[in-house]
Amino acid sequence: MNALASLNVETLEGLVSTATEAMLGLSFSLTTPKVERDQATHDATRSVSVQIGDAATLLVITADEESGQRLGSAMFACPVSELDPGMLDDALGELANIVAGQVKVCLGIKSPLGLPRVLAESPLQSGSPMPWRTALLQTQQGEILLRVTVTGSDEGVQS
Amino acid sequence: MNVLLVDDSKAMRLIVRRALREAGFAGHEFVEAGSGAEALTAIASKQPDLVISDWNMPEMLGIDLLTRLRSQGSKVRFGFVTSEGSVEMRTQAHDAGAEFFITKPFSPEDLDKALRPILGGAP
Repeated sequence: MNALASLNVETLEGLVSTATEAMLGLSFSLTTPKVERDQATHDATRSVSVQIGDAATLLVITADEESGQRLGSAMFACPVSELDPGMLDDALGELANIVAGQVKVCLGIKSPLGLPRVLAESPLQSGSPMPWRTALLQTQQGEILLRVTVTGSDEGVQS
Repeated sequence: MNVLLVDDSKAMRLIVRRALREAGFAGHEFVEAGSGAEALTAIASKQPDLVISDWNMPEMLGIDLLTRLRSQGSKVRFGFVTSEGSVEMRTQAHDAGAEFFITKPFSPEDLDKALRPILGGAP
């Protein structure tokens, strides 16, 4: 079994929750798609990617506007009304950065992480690179819904 | 003590600051820099006792900041809080003069363990 195959949605759930529990006191669990909000995240109101290995291997986190605001509010410890778009991108980007670092360890990738990059549109919509593993995660009360995707090929990944 | 936090993410600077407060280091003075260049300016003007830096930043990596400081003769105490923690990076950091290497995500306890020997108890 190669390393990518071992990265299942439960692993992604654990990596995200480990990051958010330690620093924000928020835990995430897997959820099943609900048509409206799932579509909203798929419409990529806010997406950030971090390159993990080769150009095809990306960690992408997508949030709808409401989820992005709540995550930003938790990270900056301030009301949503005090957040600007740059702060929302920063919050989502930093979460993506931390999770990408852990995914890199899981996949045994040696090359350095890229910097978080705000995406104009979701790579899931553009169709390139091909999505490899996606977890839809939500907080306990469902206040924050995130789509976490690892895209890529097996190239550059230790088996 | 005067502590400089260097991270291109404002959110992360705030989270580190919050965790330091929870770890019992609230009494120290904290200043922030959003890049390696800003850090060099802040170090020259504020003369911090400790620099806590991210590694992966645009324009100047944290390790390049440390290397530049040492090449300029600065002996400021320095450590990393970063998303990546490979053996190679830890070795590179240690060889360059870093005193600690904390990987994200971290807890206040992680910061306490790494920083207590440097910052001590209440100032």
